[in-house]
Amino acid sequence: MAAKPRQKQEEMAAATIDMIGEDLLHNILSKLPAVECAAAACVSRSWNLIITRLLSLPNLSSSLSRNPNLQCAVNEVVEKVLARTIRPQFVIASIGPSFDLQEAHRLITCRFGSRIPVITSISQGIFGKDAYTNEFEEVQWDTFEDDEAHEDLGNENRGVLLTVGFLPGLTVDLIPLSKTQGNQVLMIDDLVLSIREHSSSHSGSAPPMGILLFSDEDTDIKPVLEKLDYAFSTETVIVGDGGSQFLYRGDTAINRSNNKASSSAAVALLFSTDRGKPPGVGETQFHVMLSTGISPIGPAYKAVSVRERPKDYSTWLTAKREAVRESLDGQTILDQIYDER
Amino acid sequence: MAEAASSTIEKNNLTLKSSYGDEFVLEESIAIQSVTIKNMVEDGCSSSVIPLSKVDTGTLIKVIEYMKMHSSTSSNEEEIQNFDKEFVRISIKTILNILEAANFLDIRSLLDLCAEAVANRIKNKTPEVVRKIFNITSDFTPEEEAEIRNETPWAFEGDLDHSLD
Repeated sequence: MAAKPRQKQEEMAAATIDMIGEDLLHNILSKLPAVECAAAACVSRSWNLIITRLLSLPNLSSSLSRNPNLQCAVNEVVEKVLARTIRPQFVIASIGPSFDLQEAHRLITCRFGSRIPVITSISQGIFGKDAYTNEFEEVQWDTFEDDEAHEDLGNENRGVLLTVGFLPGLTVDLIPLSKTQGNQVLMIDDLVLSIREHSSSHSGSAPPMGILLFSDEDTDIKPVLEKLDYAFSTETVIVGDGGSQFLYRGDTAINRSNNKASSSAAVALLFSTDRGKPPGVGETQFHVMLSTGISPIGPAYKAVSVRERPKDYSTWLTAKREAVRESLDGQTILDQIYDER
Repeated sequence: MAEAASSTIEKNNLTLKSSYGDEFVLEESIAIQSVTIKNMVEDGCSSSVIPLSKVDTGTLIKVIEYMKMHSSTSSNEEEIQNFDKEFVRISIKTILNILEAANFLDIRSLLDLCAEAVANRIKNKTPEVVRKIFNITSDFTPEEEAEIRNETPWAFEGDLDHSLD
């Protein structure tokens, strides 16, 4: 009986999304991956508002691939990290020593907008969720001094871990540490000054939230850390990876060297609070934790006693493991860890 | 009294009435996938016909089709997946109608299925195409839009789909 008018209605159907409520639109848009999210933000003011609200939570998206083909590995992880509702602000990639750093960096940077800082480094190992299997994986590369042995183990040392982050309310800057040309003196004061300038332009008098440092093998990072430690308050979290090879791209780097990957003694990723952040955006805090990386999500060990034996210069450690009653000594802990791997 | 007691042992039927006045008889066990209906049954206000003034006949038929399939014990996981896939191969307008109905009737899985289906239609589309699909007029000035695009340039660098379906 009422079928006719309904059909008529449907014929004139350019679907109007306005007829569904904001909650439902929110529900639909929350299912969009990163790329579509950004496109949807351009549709109209109300859509933009919903996307902004969806993205108001800090988000880190990370994925690992052990695909021996660099291009495939990069594709896998990029697609995986962008499959979530995220608006990347910065990109950090760690690759295996058998991959070509330049090429890896090029492949990764071209997938992200030219204004997003990207740091690609060769790491000693990676752990995270595999893009393909969704299993937790941990890889420690075999590092060899001599390059021939290196090539034999080619496939073993291939892999990519990609992390993209979005921290609303924070701005992210990339600041390189350069060396003087002749005698290779580290321009640490310039770095500190530059960090200060960037940080205060975003957050006024507030100290930077966090500094992530990557340095290369030839750089002695200790004096750099000491200066940074001295220059910034204890509220600033400073962490880093020393002794790795890295490439980076960021706003400053582009201006200086025409979008080519640059290399410096070290590079800092600076996180500072954005004074102009819109209301309703929460606070982000950094916490530093030491992890062996061996059991990233496994049970925690708690030290029961640590004793030094001056006789043979050894340290005795006993610990308790969550959900295990008896105390364990150092060897048992190691055995357990190796058993699990 | 005795009669009433025996009828609860038998399969209870409910009558759902669409906004056009069409009535559909459905087993209670199937209908209570809708939390809204379930609450009505539990509150004892389902003795007669349940009027669904917000759901038109065509949409109600689809919703019932979905509930029947999802409560059937004879269908396996794969069959249900295939059913879901086919179920949303309909005009976006119809999906939006079902989405609204699923929201009103509080059928979580159907709501998610429809929201996902609409999201899939937007994937890889340019903002212009999305506007066309949903009949939205942009209320941004060209300058404002350029600025928003500038914030996320990587989103517009790939191969985007300009087609309408």
